[in-house]
Amino acid sequence: MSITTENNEKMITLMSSDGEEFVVEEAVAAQSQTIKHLIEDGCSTEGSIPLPNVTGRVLSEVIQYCKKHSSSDDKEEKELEAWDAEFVKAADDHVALTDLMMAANFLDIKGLLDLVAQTLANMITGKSPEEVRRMWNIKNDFTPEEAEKVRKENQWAFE
Amino acid sequence: MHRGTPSFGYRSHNTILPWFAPMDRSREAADRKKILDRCLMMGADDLDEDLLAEILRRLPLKTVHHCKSVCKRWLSLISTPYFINQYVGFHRSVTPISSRYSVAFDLRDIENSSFYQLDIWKRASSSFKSLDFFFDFYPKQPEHIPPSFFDLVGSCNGLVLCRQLFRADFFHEGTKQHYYHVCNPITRDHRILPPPPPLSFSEVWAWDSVAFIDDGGTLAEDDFSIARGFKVVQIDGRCCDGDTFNVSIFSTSSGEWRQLEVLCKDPFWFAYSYSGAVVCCNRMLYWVGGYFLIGYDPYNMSNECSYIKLPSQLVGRSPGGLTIGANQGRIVLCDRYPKEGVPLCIWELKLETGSWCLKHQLDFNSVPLLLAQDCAKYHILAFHPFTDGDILYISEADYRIVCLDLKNRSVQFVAFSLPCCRAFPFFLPWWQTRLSDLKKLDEANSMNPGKYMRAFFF
Repeated sequence: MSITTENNEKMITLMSSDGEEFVVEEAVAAQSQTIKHLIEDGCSTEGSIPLPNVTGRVLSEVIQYCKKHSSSDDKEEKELEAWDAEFVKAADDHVALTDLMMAANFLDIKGLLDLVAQTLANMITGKSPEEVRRMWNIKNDFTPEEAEKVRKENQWAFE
Repeated sequence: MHRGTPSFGYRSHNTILPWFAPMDRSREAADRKKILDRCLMMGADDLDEDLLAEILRRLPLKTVHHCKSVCKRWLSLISTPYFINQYVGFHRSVTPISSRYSVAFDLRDIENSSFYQLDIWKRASSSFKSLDFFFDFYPKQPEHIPPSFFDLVGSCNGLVLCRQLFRADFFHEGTKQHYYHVCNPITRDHRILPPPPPLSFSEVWAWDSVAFIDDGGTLAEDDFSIARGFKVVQIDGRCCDGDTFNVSIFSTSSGEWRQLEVLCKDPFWFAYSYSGAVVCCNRMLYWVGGYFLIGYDPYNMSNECSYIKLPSQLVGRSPGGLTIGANQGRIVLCDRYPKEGVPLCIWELKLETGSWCLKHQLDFNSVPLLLAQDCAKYHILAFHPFTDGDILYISEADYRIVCLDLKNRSVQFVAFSLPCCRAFPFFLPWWQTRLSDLKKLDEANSMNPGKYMRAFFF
């Protein structure tokens, strides 16, 4: 069922993977191309839109972003940039950012995807391979010989 | 370590439908269990290739190469042509192509002949930014070898061509033999080319000139994943009888030199100090000879060249008396040693009509203060390859290099140079041009121990 508010703004309900429901204006939800297409295809008329691979916590962050970006126009670009910076800072670590990025990708919100990808890239910049591994919890699967070979080939980048 | 239920990524947007199908509760539970197990290893491994590439393509060049050492998955991703093109595409969209073009100087350290620096000047908003490349990755020259000239003579796709000239009396009586090295100043990788055909001229004032250009034709312009080939075109400076002159062309696709005799209808010669005598513009080489601008197509390897009359105001200068350059794909020309009190004129060639137009003129009554000080003795070093109206001159009093903006009539100090300063355009590619995929020239040379030994005199 779709709800309509006093100012005739069409509302839709999004349901996260853990069953949390979010009622948002259609214009906000339509920041997501994925949701926009679903609405256009009439998938939301039957009830809430299930988003089985986005948790409530991540979804609430995504909605926060979409709300901000649907209410701002171009004039406030500087303010929006500052808001974005605060927003990714609040996400506080790369694990949360990784979740956010996957959600942004799944929901197809280009602005958010760019923002999070750039933030993660900034976190990697200047880090040594070992630091990057630690940060992402990645296993070093090179044999010492292979590691040496790769390192030698890219020696210039370490100088 | 990880909070909440981890999301599991569908590989792409195209897989929207499955989760609209009624969910099988037991399968869902199993999936969740699987995800919870994976949760312990949560991190970048969770991201599919597309998302990981989305992050990695935003990294600076050096960092992305550090990341090759992280794990096998990252190494293979970063090594794919798909990723490299995505990387270049991204950086191209955020940094304007014009900011990658600059002028490089060969600043020679006279004291230490095996030490070279390439300064790349990039105009930032208000000042010049320099990228310094030190050519100290070349092996030291053995002491028993007499010193030879070692010049940086040109650049192409981020590679630099170095020319080593052995004294004529040292190797071949009456001939000059150059050796060419190609290096990537970013990756500090270098190769030596097979020895070119010797130049056989006796006139001490006649020198050859060389052009370093893309091999062209076979590669897509923007495919940076493939090692890009190059051509080295050596033009014999002896053409005093207006008959023929020799052109030797090396290309990476053939791996060898080809010598051609080109018909010449007007004599020309190059002066030694005249760097950048041959300019590549729209797949043609141009240089000044006598009354003409001479054009040669190195891709066709024809034995003819074309002649375009110089502006009448510029005719009759001594060899090297003109500075030639390419600016935004057009040939530009000016007096190399402008006379005091005479307006400085920049001419541009309209290739369609073969006619010249006076592009900029600087009246010395209105010159900026810095230039006014230099007016008595300065010479034009180079044109900015991209910014219209920006030229570099060098003050002969104190070897200051100054950028003169003819549009806004402003000058800006760039750097202190050396008397033997050379300048050539340099393009800083988004992804480093690899030499490793080119023919292993040093190995090829080692087939002939004599040549091999000679080739390694640094």
